[in-house]
Amino acid sequence: MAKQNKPVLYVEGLSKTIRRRTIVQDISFEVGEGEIFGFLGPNGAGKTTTIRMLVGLIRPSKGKVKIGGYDLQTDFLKAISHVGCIVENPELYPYLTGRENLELFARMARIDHARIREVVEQVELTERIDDPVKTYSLGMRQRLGIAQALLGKPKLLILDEPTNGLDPAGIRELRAFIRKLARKDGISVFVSSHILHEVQLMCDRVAIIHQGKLVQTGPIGELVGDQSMVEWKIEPADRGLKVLQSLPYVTRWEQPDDGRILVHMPAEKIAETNRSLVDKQILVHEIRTHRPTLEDIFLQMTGGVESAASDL
Amino acid sequence: MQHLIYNEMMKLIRKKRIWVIALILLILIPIFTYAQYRTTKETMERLGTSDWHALLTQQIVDAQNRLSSNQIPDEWKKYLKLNIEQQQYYLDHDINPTAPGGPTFIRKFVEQAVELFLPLLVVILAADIVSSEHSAGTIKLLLTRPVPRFKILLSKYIALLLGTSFLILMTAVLGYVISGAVFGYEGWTMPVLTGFSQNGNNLVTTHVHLLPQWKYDLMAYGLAWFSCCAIGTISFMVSVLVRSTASSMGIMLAAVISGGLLSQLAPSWEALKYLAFTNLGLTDYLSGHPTLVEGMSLPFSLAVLIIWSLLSLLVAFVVFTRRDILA
Amino acid sequence: MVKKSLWNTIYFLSVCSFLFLALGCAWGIRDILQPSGSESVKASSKPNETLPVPAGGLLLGLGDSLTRGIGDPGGQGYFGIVKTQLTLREKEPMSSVNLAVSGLTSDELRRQIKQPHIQNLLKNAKWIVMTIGSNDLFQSSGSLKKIDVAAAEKSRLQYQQNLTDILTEIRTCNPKATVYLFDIYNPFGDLPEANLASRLVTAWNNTISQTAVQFDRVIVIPTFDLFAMDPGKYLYSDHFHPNHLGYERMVERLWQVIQDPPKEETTDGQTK
Repeated sequence: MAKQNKPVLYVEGLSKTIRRRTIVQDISFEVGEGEIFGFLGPNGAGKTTTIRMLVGLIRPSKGKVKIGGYDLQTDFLKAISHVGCIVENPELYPYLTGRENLELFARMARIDHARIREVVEQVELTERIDDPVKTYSLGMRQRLGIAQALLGKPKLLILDEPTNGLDPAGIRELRAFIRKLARKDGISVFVSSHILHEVQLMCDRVAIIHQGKLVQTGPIGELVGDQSMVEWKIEPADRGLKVLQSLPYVTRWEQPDDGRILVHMPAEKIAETNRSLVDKQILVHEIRTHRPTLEDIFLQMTGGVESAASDL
Repeated sequence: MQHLIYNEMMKLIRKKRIWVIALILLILIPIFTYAQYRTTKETMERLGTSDWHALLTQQIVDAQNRLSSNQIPDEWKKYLKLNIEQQQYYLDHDINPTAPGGPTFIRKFVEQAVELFLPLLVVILAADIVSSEHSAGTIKLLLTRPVPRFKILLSKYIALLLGTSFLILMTAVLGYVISGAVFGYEGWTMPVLTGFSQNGNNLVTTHVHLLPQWKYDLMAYGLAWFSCCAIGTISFMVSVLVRSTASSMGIMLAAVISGGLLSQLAPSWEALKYLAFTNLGLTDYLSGHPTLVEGMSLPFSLAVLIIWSLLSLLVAFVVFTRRDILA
Repeated sequence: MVKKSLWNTIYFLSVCSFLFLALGCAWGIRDILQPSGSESVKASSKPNETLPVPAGGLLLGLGDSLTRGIGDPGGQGYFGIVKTQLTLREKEPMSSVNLAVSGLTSDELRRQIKQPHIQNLLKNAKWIVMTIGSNDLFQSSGSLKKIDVAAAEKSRLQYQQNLTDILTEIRTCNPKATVYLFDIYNPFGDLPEANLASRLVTAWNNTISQTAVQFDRVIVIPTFDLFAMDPGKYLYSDHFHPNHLGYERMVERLWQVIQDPPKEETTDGQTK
């Protein structure tokens, strides 16, 4: 989906220094309407600090955050009323029931009971809503957390590592739910994650943060590129490697000792490559594509061993 | 705003902390009742009479004998002497200061409890009111609502004051119901003397007057409430400053207990009177119970408590509205 | 929901108690700072007449540290011992009040028994036991080394007057009760200056006897001889007050007379 004209979230030059330590430095990006924006970075890169600045929990040392056109610093109430968020874990009051939790937050923003019912249905928690939260599973808490975030009909949903601790089925469900929110209801979603694969599957655009700085921002395809790592098990290996090297789209390769060859190449060229090998009477035993990890991206982008090795 | 207060009250009540306090009262009040019952019974057995004149006379003479001993410090002597004079006054005017009954019990109870017991209960209630949101992480949800931070803190403070009021009410009601089962439920209209004041070493009785006991009880609990609110306010500040409930409760318990102990240990150390914790016994001014440290009066104690409370509130609000929520 | 209505009630009660207590607080502060003096209390002119005195009677102790029981490690003193013995003997419950104060002089006792509530107790007493005079004597006569005979004589006369007043007061309040008055012993019997001290004590004891005979049912119990021969055995380590043994000896004397019924039965008196 293309970027809309007016950004829902606008961040400019955001920095935070705590006790002389710069945690976040000069971050700028925009999130458009109905867009799912991934915020990718390893643990400790400054994701949580940035998110806390986006929702007003931490005062930025420098920079500006605008939500729905309102400055978060000077117009906090108007800006924050367009935001629903889960920062880190969905922490709710365990001694209250799910409904009481929602009622509590509803009262803080003058939201009626009809909306509570609506949201509860939306996250499919109707059956257990009157049980105390302390009896909920993590997945249910996550859903209640989302219900809480959706209560005020936000334009922007901010989720911090939402898939943490969920089982694969839960992750799939959540992904579908987020996509639906963005596509159907036009809500912009800002998701942070340290798992590239997850961001790839969910997001339209992505920003990558490393050591407090944005490394790159752009559509997910551009960033990750069509480059993937393909593992070949071929015989004979040395002749096969020569064939692979001769192909124009192969940029880099590695050859570990065990007879495999790792090749950086576009994934859609696998069939073509396979044919070239077979044509040259080379036996292909196994082809495996590797999803690039966050580390690979960093290596690729920073081109250096330095940044990736020091932090990961 | 009332929605926010409602929310905070709901948390306060549903957190079960208030029931823990009720349980403490339910266990301790019967013990106090029994202790009181035993003491009266023992003195009665010792003297062989239930006539309070004789009991009080004996108490005065006992105190006089203690006074003639050389081993007690001067501050205590003064205290004893004023106490004797007051008891003498009761005797001379034929008014029993300790006629048994529920209303008398709760009067005596609040006079004893105001300096230590009630503040401790308030600390239990207040210590986690803000810190628990930090330790549970719910502070992040609370502060990302379209509500200014100061309003959130204010609603918490008001809820705390309401909770403290409820605690005092609970103390009075439970005390009355439980002790009444032993001592009877009568005595609301019994006259009680008040208006004693202290002038150096002398008891001034020019303003002494009678109050029906219900009125006296109301005033005594009102004054105790004031002390408790002040302690609650200080705990509130600590709760804002410290993120863990355990340490905020620890700090306050230590402060309250050592404040009480210090004024007993070193009554001649005058600077102590500027501490909030030594000024909690507001009911002493009503009963005419002499103060141990020199130069304390009701306006003085009120001023000390109010100043401490205001400073605490100021610190609490400034810190809370500006602080970064990091963890 | 029951739960919901419960905590709504608590919320409501909290608000009510808040207002209520704030009112009480304001009221209390006003009452302390501006006492409504109009309603000030007058001393009750008529002491309570109908005191519930147990049928067994009231044992009243008056006087100084000896009646208090100073020197007895158990704190009983002769008063405590005799009280226990009386309690055992009497079939009906009896009561006892010990009004003795350490260091009391005859002058202070004279003033003490003028107080209305103490007169009340006097009125109800069946037995009155007292020790008075030692403090007058040993305070006035100066240090043991240098006994001021003149000053001692002056205070003896004063003492005589006080004792007369005290006994008169007691008799006025209560014509029936028997008064058991211990006389004075010389705690310094084993010291070199004992002779002079003993002479003084004897003079005072004569005064006590002479004063006592002027009243009905005032019995003087001699103690001088009890501590004359071996004070170390019967005196407490302060060498002034009796120890437990000493008090027991005093009780022996007292017990001999206290168990005798009153000499003359009064016509309207309770026949027991």
